[in-house]
Amino acid sequence: MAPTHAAIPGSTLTLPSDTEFEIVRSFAAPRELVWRAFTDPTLLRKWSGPAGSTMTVCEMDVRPNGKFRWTFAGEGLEFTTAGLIHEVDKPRRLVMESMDPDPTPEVRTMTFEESSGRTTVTIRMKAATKEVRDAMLASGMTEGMEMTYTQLDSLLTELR
Amino acid sequence: MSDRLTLTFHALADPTRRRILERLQRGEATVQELADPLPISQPAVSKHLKVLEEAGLVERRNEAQRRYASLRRKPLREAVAYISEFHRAWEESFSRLDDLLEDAVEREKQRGRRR
Repeated sequence: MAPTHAAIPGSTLTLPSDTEFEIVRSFAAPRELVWRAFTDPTLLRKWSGPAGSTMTVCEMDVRPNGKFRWTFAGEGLEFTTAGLIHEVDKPRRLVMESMDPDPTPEVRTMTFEESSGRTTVTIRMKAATKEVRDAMLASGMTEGMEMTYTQLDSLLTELR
Repeated sequence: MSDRLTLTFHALADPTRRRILERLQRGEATVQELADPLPISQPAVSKHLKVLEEAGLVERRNEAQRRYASLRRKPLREAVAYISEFHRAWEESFSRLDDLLEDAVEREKQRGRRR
């Protein structure tokens, strides 16, 4: 069996409930800069999205009730997600909600914490409907599921 | 996500069922043997085993009036593969961001030196 988590260094993925997932990643840069990378369209389109895709549309009106629209294109596929920005607490916290494609609301809460020049970003995504939930990672998981996939992986290693 | 994965994740979501799986990694066991270290009754263990069996995580066999449960690893491997694929896609983006930030931090340093 391949050691799956060893191939993915850096971030941790947890599944706090049946409708959510959370990913935590630390970056070697001050918080202001990381905040910009997540909120400035020019910077965001340089790194965001699946490998091999280009962000062909990246609009972000970073203020409460501001709109955002992202389109990723690549390998014959195109995907758009759009919605509203709910909370802006620069450079600490950003809450946004995807409302398009309908009906797939999904709330994304991002927090940015700085310590000794490094910034830890926590992205928590919560789906509101079963449809979205099923499309997201945590499908089928019941309330209180706290096992990280790394833990699942180590369980697997033990089970080998 | 396939129904199969949904069943696997549902089965794994319960801590008691995970303890049962951990026990079964050491070899097959009867309901009695599984219940002994757990604070629950044998009928409760049987119910959990049924969920695990439906998810394909456990196999049962009868031998000389005794019923043994054993572990099947394939659904676990599929669940991990699914999650790690998802995780990998995120990490690919984050690596690009690492590079971007490294350049930006470097530029700010140089700007600082020029001042």
